[in-house]
Amino acid sequence: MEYVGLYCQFIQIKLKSMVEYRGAFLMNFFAKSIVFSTEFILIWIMIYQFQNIAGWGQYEVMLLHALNIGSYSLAGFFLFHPFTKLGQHIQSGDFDEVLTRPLNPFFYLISREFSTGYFANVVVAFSIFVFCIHILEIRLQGLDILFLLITILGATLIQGAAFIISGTVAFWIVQNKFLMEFFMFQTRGFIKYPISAYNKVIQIILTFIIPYAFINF
Amino acid sequence: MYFELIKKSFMEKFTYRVNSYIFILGTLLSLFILMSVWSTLYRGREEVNGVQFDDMVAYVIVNAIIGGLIYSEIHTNIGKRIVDGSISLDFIKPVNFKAYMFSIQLGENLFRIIFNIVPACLFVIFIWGFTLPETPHQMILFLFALINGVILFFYFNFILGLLVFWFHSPFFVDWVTKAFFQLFAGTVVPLWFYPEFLYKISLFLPFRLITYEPITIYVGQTSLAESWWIIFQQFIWIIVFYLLNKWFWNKSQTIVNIHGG
Repeated sequence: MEYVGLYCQFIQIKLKSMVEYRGAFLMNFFAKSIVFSTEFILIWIMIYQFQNIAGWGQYEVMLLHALNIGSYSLAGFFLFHPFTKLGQHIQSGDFDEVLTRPLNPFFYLISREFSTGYFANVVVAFSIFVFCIHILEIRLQGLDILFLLITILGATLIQGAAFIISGTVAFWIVQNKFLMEFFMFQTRGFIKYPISAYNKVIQIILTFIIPYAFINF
Repeated sequence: MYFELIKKSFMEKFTYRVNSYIFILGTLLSLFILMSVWSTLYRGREEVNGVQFDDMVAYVIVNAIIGGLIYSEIHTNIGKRIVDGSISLDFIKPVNFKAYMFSIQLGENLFRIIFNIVPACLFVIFIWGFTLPETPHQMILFLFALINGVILFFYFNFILGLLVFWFHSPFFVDWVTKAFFQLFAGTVVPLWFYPEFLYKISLFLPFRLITYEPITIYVGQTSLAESWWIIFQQFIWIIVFYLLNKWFWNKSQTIVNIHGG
């Protein structure tokens, strides 16, 4: 339990440093918002002429993608930096420092490298989410909201697990940058669209082997 | 000499082979996802907006290859050199700086195309098939437009790199232009399917001339006269970019001098 307090302290320090470099943070925020909004616009354009993909309309697919980006960013806050940089740290020997601290190394690693770069993603994902819900005229009642929150939590945990699994492979192969990209970006590309758009084999893989389908579908 | 540079950077890529295997898988997956989505979208339709599914397959494949050809880290490289100051050394080297950067990038890109994009494309062709242009002059015009597009893109890229002199960080410029590029160049969704107002905006921007327009020539969406019109527009933009580039380049050298005292 003492870890919780310690973790909060670490995050506080990070947030303070973020406020310190306000200009850089705002530029970052601005640039990232543009990038992620473009992704949504492209989905919208892609389906514009066709009306629907496998029975899913434009805003429904955007809703899916918002869940995807949202949970990815929530996991990214805590896990993106520690695990994408793990390979480099192991290669350069910096990782030894982590092992010598009087703390659980895993805990130390993730608390040291909390990332402040994900606010933009969360904000964009959340606004798109709200926007789509509004357009689709979905009414959320008490239990639905609870269900939604649990879904987001579960999705975040799956994304987090993907970070950790593809990151820790670095202990064996050291250079994990490409593997990481493969798992986190290319494979995740599947769930940008409803998985009923793919053939059966892919659907089974995405459900049972790499359970990305559970993130949003 | 520049040919030698292309060869050297090509060979350099050979040293990281394991990465390149995973990379092939990644490219393959992205292409596969894209194709599955397009074929689902096309399910039960002959054509949409005058575009047949075969054209779409050709679009995705040619687009992937051009994408490999114009992949560029030149602007971020220039950016890094500006930030750490090593660009001052490049100024005094007895080579044409831009040609030097271009050759190295081209060598890497050729490697990427041969060992990674082409295998992935073969897989796509195996499943979905592939059509060549109907007439030889279509092909010639396409290649011509493609070369122009590549030149256009690299000039644009140099300007981006030089912008770091004013912005002091390579990342923001990179992200924002990438987003713009994706949106108005038609690299993800061809401009055929764009809503009217977005298409109109893209007409005023040079981005579509880099990949989209050459491919429309390739799949035969444009008539002969229109193809020449496209190439003419490319020339205009190349001249514009060339002049801008010169201007930025001269400007940036004076900035370096100021910093150097």
